[in-house]
Amino acid sequence: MQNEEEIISRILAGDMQAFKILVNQYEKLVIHMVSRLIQNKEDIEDICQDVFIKVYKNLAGFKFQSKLSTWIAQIAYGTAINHLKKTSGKKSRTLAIADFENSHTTNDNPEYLLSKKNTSEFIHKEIEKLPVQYRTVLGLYHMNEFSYQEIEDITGMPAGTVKSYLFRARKLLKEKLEVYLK
Amino acid sequence: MKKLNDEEIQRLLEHNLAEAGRKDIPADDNDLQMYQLLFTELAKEPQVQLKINLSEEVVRRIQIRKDAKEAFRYYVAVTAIIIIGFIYACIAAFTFNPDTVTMAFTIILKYKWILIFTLISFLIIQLLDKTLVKRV
Repeated sequence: MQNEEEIISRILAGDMQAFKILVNQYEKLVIHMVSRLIQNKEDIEDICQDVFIKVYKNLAGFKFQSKLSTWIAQIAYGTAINHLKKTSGKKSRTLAIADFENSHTTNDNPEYLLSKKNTSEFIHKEIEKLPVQYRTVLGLYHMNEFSYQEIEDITGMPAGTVKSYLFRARKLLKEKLEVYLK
Repeated sequence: MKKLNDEEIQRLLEHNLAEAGRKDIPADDNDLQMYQLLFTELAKEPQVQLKINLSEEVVRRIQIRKDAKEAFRYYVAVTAIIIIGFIYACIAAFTFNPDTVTMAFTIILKYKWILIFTLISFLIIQLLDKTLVKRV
């Protein structure tokens, strides 16, 4: 892996090959983050591209005060959230936190029963149903291995809120898993 | 043996202490097993495969934007040069021979449609040149 400062200075000097290296290095992070928040595959592609275009445009303003991954994740989070806000007029599959936690409906529809064949698939389907804040913190903490402080920097949620969302999201998922495995 | 609550189990797994073999954790703790399974699944990467080559596509889009910006700058520069040249010619003519200015305006007004047509044709040719001709 090349030195980040060196890659950034090459990009700022107009080297597009260096920018391709940077995109390849961080595309997993961005794809995982965006796909946790947005379910439509075409939207994911568009948003991932927008994120890296923003990274390119704002790279001169990156002053190494945080890790580059945190900075890129911050842009990815902002872009995905803005997209969700724009499309919130359309019927969303995701409930708000309060609504989600108050809804304890039993899912016995055929689609749900079919998903029971696979524990992993079941868990990931349940994650998709979680409120956006829960999915965000779960993804950032478990998949991308960001610390509470870094998640605060990325999302703007206080570290205490991040901790509390993480706890509640895991507890909810554990309860669902218990019912499923009974 | 004390049963761990949800918070304690989560904290424990966050610090990977379960794998370190803590003696005070009951092996048959159902909650712990559920959480262990959950933590394993949460760490798995989602199976998202993009149809495009992200880096190629992003660079292509950036290049298109750069080209559009350059084209815009070029047209602004050409327009500015034409306007400045015209103003300069008017000032020069007015300084040395005011009658020429009146005559020039009369000619411009007389042939205004030809002049407008020429100007629009020039801009269209420039635009087509930028968009249709592929540069090697």
